[in-house]
Amino acid sequence: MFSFILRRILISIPVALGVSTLCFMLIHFVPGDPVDIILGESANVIEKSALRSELGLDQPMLTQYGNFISGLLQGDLGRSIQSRRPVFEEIAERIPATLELTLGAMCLAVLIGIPLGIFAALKQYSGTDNVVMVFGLLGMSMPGFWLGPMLILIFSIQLDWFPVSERGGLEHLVLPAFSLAIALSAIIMRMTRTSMLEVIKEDYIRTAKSKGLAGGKIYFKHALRNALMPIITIIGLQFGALLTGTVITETIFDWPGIGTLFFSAIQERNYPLVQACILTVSLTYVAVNLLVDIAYAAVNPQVRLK
Amino acid sequence: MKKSLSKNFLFVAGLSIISFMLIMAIFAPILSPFSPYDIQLENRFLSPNAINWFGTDENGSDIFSKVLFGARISLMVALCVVGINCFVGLVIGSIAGYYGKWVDSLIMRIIDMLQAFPGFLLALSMVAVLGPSIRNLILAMCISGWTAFARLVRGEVLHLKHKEYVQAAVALGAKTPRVVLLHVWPNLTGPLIVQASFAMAGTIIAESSLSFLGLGAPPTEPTWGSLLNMGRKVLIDAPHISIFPGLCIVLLVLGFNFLGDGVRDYLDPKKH
Repeated sequence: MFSFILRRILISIPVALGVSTLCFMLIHFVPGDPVDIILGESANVIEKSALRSELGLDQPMLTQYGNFISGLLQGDLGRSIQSRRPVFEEIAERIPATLELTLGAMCLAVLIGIPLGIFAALKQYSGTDNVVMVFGLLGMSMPGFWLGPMLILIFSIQLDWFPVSERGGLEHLVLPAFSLAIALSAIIMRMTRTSMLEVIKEDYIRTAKSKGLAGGKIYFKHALRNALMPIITIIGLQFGALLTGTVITETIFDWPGIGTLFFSAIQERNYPLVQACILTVSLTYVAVNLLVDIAYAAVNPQVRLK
Repeated sequence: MKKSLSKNFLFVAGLSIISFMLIMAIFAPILSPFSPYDIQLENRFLSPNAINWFGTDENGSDIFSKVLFGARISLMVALCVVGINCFVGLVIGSIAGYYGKWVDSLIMRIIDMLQAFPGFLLALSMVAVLGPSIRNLILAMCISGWTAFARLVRGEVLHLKHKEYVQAAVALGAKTPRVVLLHVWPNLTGPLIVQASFAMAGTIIAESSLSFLGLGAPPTEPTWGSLLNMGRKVLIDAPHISIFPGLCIVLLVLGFNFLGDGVRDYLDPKKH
């Protein structure tokens, strides 16, 4: 197990380095001079050269790259152009809000997806199964930036059940979390159904049935436990999609998380902040994938022996 | 016995939806009652009525016409992106799968790295940096989009190259391009259609998300995403601006998801 974890961490290092390099390159993809774009062509030469040296753009490319990586390792990626504060400080402030939203969405998706998936599998090819499956496809086809406003329209404006926007108590979390969760819950539902269908054909389920065990005990104790593995994997892997989805959901619901910070940084051409946001999300994504793999190996010895 | 594809509900439903939308998009200039660029400030924010089926927007433009023209942009961008990704993935995946050894390892590491990046975020940052335009939008969605195709093709090629008919072609002295082109690629059609179908669905959502954020096509172009962006600001007074373009996105994406699921069921030997 230890050697598996070590090997898996070693594989992640080049990936993390590659991700960081891509983020570093971003500012160099800007057509024209980034300083001109940030300050406008009319800014005076002194201001321009001050910003250029602050961003390190006056140094050779390799030096810039070296500084970027060493800065990253020390948790210092420069200052935000607008607020003059260290970018990581701004990001750290926003993490709790984004975490709350993503975890809320994750819980909702699991609570909706797994029971529906089990239900569909137990009634395979029935009318109910077909309805659940079509709803699943519908859920996957619904973009968050449409579902969000529709939820606001129905539940905030028409019914007045939930507040329209901003962060607050639990009632503020419901709509944004739901609009973020719907696609994931459809994916979880489909995975649960497939996985349950495979497991309930196994011999030990037939044995349990022939022993005369009650249905609930068979399906929840014997089947679901064994069917959970691929479901957990897909939940872990979809965490990245959730994090990315927050950019849209947070914008719609005025949620004060990394998504809105990232979006406003893009609009203000605040490149250091843009880089830091992408880096934070991507490295979290890499780390989550790493954890999922390790967790997977911990519960399934077949994986680590491969 | 394999049930014919034409009896598969998902496939037929998906194909019907897509064909319908495609016809609407192709004949948009004929079908649309107004020009999507028309500005009639006296007709701002009209609710759906007999003349403006889907109502009008903040400039008094007809939303039905805009939605028709929006279908053109969405479908065109998605077809370009998926076409490019499919082709690049096919070539790179075949090279990795067919040659194996260090070529395969190298290609797979590059794919791993690109897939470590959440795809939408990468596209978002690229467009943000390059500036919003349809060309940059397509470019941004191609950077990591091909990797899913390449991974699929590589897996299939690894499996196919040991088949007797491929070995036979090699034994008969066929050159590698001939073997790959005539004996391997035709067998990839099925899985590629499934993958392309889901990729179309994903690309349409990604494209309209970017347009929604103002990072897609220029705001003067009538796109579904930009209509939704406009609609969000007047959600209470003019909900129709948000409702109809959104329904079109859902319908088209659903069509491609249906199609992909249908073909996958058809190709799955366990289902028969």
